[in-house]
Amino acid sequence: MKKITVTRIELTWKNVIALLSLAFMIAAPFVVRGSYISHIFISALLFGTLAASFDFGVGYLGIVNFGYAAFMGLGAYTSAIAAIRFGINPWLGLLLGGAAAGLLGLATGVLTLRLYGIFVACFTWFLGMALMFLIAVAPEVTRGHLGLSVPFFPNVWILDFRDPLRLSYFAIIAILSLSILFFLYYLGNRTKMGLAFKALRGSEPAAMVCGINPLKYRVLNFVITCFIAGMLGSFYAHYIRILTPSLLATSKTIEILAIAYLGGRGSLWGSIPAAFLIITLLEFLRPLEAYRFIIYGVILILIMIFYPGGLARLITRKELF
Amino acid sequence: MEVTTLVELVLMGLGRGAIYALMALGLALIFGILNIPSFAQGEFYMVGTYFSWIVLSILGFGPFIALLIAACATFLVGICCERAVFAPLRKFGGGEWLLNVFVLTLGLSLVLQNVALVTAGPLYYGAPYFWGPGVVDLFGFRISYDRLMIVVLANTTILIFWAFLKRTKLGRAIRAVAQNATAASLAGVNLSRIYMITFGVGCMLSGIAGALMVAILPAYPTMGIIPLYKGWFVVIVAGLGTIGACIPVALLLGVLEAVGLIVASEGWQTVLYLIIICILLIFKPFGIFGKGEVRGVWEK
Repeated sequence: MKKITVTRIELTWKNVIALLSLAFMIAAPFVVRGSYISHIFISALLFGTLAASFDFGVGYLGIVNFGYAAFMGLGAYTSAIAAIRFGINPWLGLLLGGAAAGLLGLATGVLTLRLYGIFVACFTWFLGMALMFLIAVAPEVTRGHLGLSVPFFPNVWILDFRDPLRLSYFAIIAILSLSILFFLYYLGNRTKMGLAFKALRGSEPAAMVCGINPLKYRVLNFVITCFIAGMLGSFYAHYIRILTPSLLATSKTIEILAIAYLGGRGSLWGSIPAAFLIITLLEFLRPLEAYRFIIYGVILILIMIFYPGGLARLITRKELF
Repeated sequence: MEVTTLVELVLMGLGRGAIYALMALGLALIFGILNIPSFAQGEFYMVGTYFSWIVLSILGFGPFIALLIAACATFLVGICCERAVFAPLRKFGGGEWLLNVFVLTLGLSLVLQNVALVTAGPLYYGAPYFWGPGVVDLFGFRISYDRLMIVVLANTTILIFWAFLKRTKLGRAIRAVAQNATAASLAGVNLSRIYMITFGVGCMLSGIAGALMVAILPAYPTMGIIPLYKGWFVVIVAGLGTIGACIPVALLLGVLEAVGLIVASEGWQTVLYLIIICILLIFKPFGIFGKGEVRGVWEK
């Protein structure tokens, strides 16, 4: 069997800048030590990673999961309710939330992924709406619009989650998002599955001729992205610590989707700088209130018209996949 | 349960269904001709409601003028949006039209929602009634005057729209573009103009739906999401690419919803929808009247 060669990172300007910004990104909250800064960094990483895994579906196979926030919300509620009702450790809840979202994703995928494009988008959207309303009309379990308050993560080693600086949360999300990004990158570039995705992206009939079952790989892709959404959702639950059905709303999906598209479809890593840009921009423009969303919408429209490649194509011409 | 209640519910359902039919027709028209899966249609519904409210409550004119002004206003807003947003994308945008245009409509909806929020504020604006107060006695069944007029006016709009598509020169041009854009343009149809007008008409239909509902659902910046959801549901169930099939499906859905209110509260409707669409996806994946050509449409 052929040994997989490890590609060496070359010392070009781009790589140096990328590594420096990565180092900055990880170090900044520890250096600045402000709860506001760490909150912005945590949400940027969280939404950036969510957008990256959303991109794993859109960029590769053109699957628009328009109920993405609902899968995230399902993970969040699963982990929260498991912790409150059954006293399950929130660390296990991360996996549990992911598993719940992944299972729902499997059922949805098997049912819908025979179809294409707008059908999948609409079905996942209907599913998301249904989940949101179900959570709203079952207040005995979920407390509906009253909001479900969620316990902290239990303290581990030096990680103190009750600290108002929230640096432990930042450490966890940094580890989570880096490992998810590397996992997705590895999946996309170093495995047979990634090769199949690439083939399907290039031309589906040609891929089918080569013996690739499109349904199988589409469902696999869908389940992976849903699992990640659920896992990050349960992180979100234990971080924000209050859950309402509005977490599952379409506007949340649009937020994630906009980050993924601005980052550049099919680039994965582009979502992270895009998330940092958008979230800091929106925070910066907060005094403008509703006007900032007008600006945001106009920027989104302009980028989609004139630069559909997004941020990733702006920085590098070469595709990562 | 008494028969009268059931009939009254069915009449109420027909009113709802007619509104959904208007939304779905707008969506199907825009999707079929411009190939845009519009998720900004709910915002045009909102624009229609706001204009209807302005005319009815502030200017104090009658419902006909309100309807007319709301229709014209949404038509104009639709045309402006098409020129400002979709025409440039058609010109400059590269491949993967649908994935880009999908996000474009989301951006548009964000902009329209927040423009409404900035200009009108986060308040609910409603008129006490659209047509007039009171209840009509129709063959022994009681239905509110407003709801009756909604059914009548919505169905009249649909008929006028149908006549426009089938009987006028412009309508024939639109149908020709739907069949084959290149051939139509070779026959002398100005494609850019047809796209603009079609988008405007699609928006106008949503605007009329919104204007009719002003007394039932008050105007609010984010009110468009529910009609949009119902509209897309009808389009998917009826099958993409079949504009006419939307009407019976929408009416049926409205009646089903109204009758379903006896069994469970409003929140459970979405679950009912999900069940319907699951069954449909298993047995008839391209919609009741769909022909399974959707993949072609998506990749056009």
